[in-house]
Amino acid sequence: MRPRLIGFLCEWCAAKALENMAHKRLRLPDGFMPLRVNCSGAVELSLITQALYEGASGVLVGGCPKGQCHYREGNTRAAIRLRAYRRLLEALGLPPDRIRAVWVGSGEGERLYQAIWQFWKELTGEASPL
Amino acid sequence: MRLALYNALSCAGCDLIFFLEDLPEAFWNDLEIVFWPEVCENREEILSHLPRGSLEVAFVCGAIRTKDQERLVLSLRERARKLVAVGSCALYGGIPGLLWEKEEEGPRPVTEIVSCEVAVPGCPPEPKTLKASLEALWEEKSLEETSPRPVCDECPRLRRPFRINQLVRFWGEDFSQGDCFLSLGVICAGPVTKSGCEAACLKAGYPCWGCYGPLDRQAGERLLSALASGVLPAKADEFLENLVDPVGTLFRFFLAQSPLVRLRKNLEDEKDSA
Amino acid sequence: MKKWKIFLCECGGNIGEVVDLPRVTRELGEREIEIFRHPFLCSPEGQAFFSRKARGAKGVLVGACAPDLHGETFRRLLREQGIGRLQLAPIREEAAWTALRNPTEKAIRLLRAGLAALKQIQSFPTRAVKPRPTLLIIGGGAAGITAALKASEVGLKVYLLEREPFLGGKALHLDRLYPRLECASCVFSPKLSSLLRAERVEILTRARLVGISGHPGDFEVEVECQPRYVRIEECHGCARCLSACPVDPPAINWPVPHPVPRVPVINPFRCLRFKGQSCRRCEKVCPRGAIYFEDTWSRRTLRVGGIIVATGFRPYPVEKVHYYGYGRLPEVITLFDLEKAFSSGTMLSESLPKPLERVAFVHCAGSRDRRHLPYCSEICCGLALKASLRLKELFPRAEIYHFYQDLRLKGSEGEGLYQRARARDIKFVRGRVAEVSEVPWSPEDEGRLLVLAEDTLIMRKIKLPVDLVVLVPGFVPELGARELAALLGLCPGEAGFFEPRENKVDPAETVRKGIWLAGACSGPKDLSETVASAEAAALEAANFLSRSEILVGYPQLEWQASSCGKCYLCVEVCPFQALVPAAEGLKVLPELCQACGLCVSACPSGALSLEDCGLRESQLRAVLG
Repeated sequence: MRPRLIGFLCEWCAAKALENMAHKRLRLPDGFMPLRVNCSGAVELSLITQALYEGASGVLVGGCPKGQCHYREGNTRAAIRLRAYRRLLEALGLPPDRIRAVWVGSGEGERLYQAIWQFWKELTGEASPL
Repeated sequence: MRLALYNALSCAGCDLIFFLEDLPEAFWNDLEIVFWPEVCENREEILSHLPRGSLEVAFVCGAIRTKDQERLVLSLRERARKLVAVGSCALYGGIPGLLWEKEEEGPRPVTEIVSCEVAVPGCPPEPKTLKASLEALWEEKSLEETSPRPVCDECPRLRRPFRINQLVRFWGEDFSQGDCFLSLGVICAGPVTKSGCEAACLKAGYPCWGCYGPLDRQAGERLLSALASGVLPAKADEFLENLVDPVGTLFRFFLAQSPLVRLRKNLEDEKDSA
Repeated sequence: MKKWKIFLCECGGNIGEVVDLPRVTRELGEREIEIFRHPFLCSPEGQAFFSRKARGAKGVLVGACAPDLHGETFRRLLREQGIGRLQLAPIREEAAWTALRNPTEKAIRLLRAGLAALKQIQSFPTRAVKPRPTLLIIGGGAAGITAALKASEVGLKVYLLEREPFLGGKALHLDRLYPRLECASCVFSPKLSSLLRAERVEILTRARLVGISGHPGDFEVEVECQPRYVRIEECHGCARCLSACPVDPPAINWPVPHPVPRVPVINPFRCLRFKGQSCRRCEKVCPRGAIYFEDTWSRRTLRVGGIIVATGFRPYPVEKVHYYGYGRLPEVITLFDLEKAFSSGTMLSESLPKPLERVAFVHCAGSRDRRHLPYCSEICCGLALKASLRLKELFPRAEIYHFYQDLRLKGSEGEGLYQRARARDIKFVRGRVAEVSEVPWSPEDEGRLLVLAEDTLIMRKIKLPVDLVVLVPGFVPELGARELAALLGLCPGEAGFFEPRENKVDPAETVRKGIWLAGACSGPKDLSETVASAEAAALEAANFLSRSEILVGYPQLEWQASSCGKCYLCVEVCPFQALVPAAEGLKVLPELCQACGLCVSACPSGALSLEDCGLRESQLRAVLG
């Protein structure tokens, strides 16, 4: 199953987009592990470090599209936080591309699908079956 | 009192604290300095002649970078009944620990190599902290293990809800009093740093640098997370631009202990295996 | 000894045929864990099985479908058994339907993560509260009025808040209604007058919300009222003051066709008395002594159980589409100016230099345009067609052109409206208007406007001289919507309209319990949709507020005093004002907390934690291990 890609998906949009994708029976790489969070803004950076440390090859944070956060500014804060974190990784000589964010609406299963496979392809070279 | 003090990778700044007046008297009575290269002219070989447990107390300052340093610390551990780690370098890797930013294998804190009876944080430790630790050591009572509290607990600055307008480098302006540094946009490690220093820097008008050690190993990420949460979204680009040297600012004293630097090794292993 | 119990649903073959459930059972099996399998856990039979087998469990993990589908069912069944700890692992969506090669392996990991979470969650305490049977409705337009009527009918006390001096909102200026062209005021004014007779409805005009505290079932709201300078409770609407006023038009007036409340308002910017003169004519003629020049701004605190937000929409300020010349060219008007002219009976032709020979309706003025409104406002096509038919009635000789991108006429009668327009010789040109210009193409058109467009059906450019251009703008949320969202903790979407909890199945509910949406504040709506959504909101509110008790039970945000640095960043971060600075450091108001976790990720000292739904490292280990 290695490598692993952890997806922190916001309950309101990104996780719904995953469900939307599931209804279309779009297949994701086996190594993609979705974990539902209440809001993308609730994903702590220490948790991302932890995920990488425990062996994840990449971390994808999925949240609501800009301006549609159910907690007003959660996704905006998450976006800034992830950008700052990528700067930190860069400064440490770590590949910042291991961290990515995707902002999808609950109906945008295909966009989430594309984003996950794109990320997966960059991490492993394996491309989407479609 | 037979005593040894060894500086590994350090600035020897911690040594000076021992010359301040208010250390416990027992410390000065019947003092025999067996090994303290900066104070008396003695060599490493002396140690090898000493029997096991013959030193009453040994102090180690600084981080461990070379094999020799590691060996010496191990030998001190063997000969000393009590080993005291002094200073942030010995405890968390300290400033030399920032070598991890560019090096694959940087210096490690003493506490990761040998067990220590007492650990005295600070860069350098406040005389009060050192005194309290030594007294505890002398009286053979363990320091009360309370859950660590952040430096903010002792900080006199004014606190109220805020958003960060912009990151400001601590430079030139007079910040001696007023609102919490974070609310002014000055990165202050106070909220992620263990207290004990009585917020000495903050009382002097300086932001906390974090020398008393992180509340947990991911304090750097926590501080970054907090800053990013507080910044106004419209100012995000400027914020990132002004975040110069994120490693040195956020992980100033404990980079050597951060999981992030271990991560690099993992990722390289992963690349090798692929 | 009590055990953890895992229920695996086969979901017909959806899970059972894809995931090797016997293998899952083997791999997850432990001494402290019991595992059950059922072909349809959500069926009545499956639910009975679930209840029976769950009895006495320490906690339950359900491996089935997405939590939104049957999560509530399982939670309710467990509550009956006195079990509060439930975790759901959506292995159908996340493994069976989406795993590329090895759904079984993925399901095992997801279940392990669920188990790890289950072992750490606590069953959170709940508190029973009797909701206050009072309702605050913000916005006195069609939606607010409908909701107020319905709510008062079922026995709720209603405070109806309106920013303007009179109720009615946009609906007041409508002339005819889409698609049957029935008279709008004949439909709408009975509602207004029944509101005046309605019991338990208190109307607060010129008022706005300035503060809110408390929790669902018992909010404390602060309302600020602008002075009206006329005592509502005294005035009985004889209108003598209107004719007594020496200013023309009168400074004391009701500038709407159906003033509700029927009490005039003094415009202090026009009233002579406010300009320092000694005029008191209105005061002298008033038989009731209702004129009250000393009226001032006032504040009121109300206690209500719930709030319906019905702030509505407004047309896009179309002057921003500068190449259409609105505001610069007097012959360019908007559909709403036209509608107002119809409803107030002022003849358009009087203000025009030339007789009305040709009129152009410019659809999508600013809509479906990335520079302005990227979305379609749905209802404007119908409104434009309706208005053009009315215009044709009044000016039978006028030629009417519609420049459209797509005609989006909804409802079973939308097409009929289009056919009627065709039959009346109203012309349709598909293509966006590039510019409305006052520079004539040929000298004989001097004084007329020129519409430059392209007919994309015949691929030809059009230069059409017209006498009147009617712009049909899209809709944006009413002014102040963002401020209100900030105050109430609602979520405005990209366009600024409030997002309901769930667009399809919970259109009236918001993410905040006890606050509902009615009418066009959640997106452009025509009158019938507005009324329907207002009734839905009133029903939701009545249902919620008439319960004998509501359970206030939120996952608990824990605040550890010892590690808190009291930087108060969290106070600012919280979207719901659930954290307040206090003498001892911080106070968490559990009734306001929605467990979003934003404060947890913002806290530098790790003093805040969500024990019940925060993500834990053990979950990470379970999926990565």
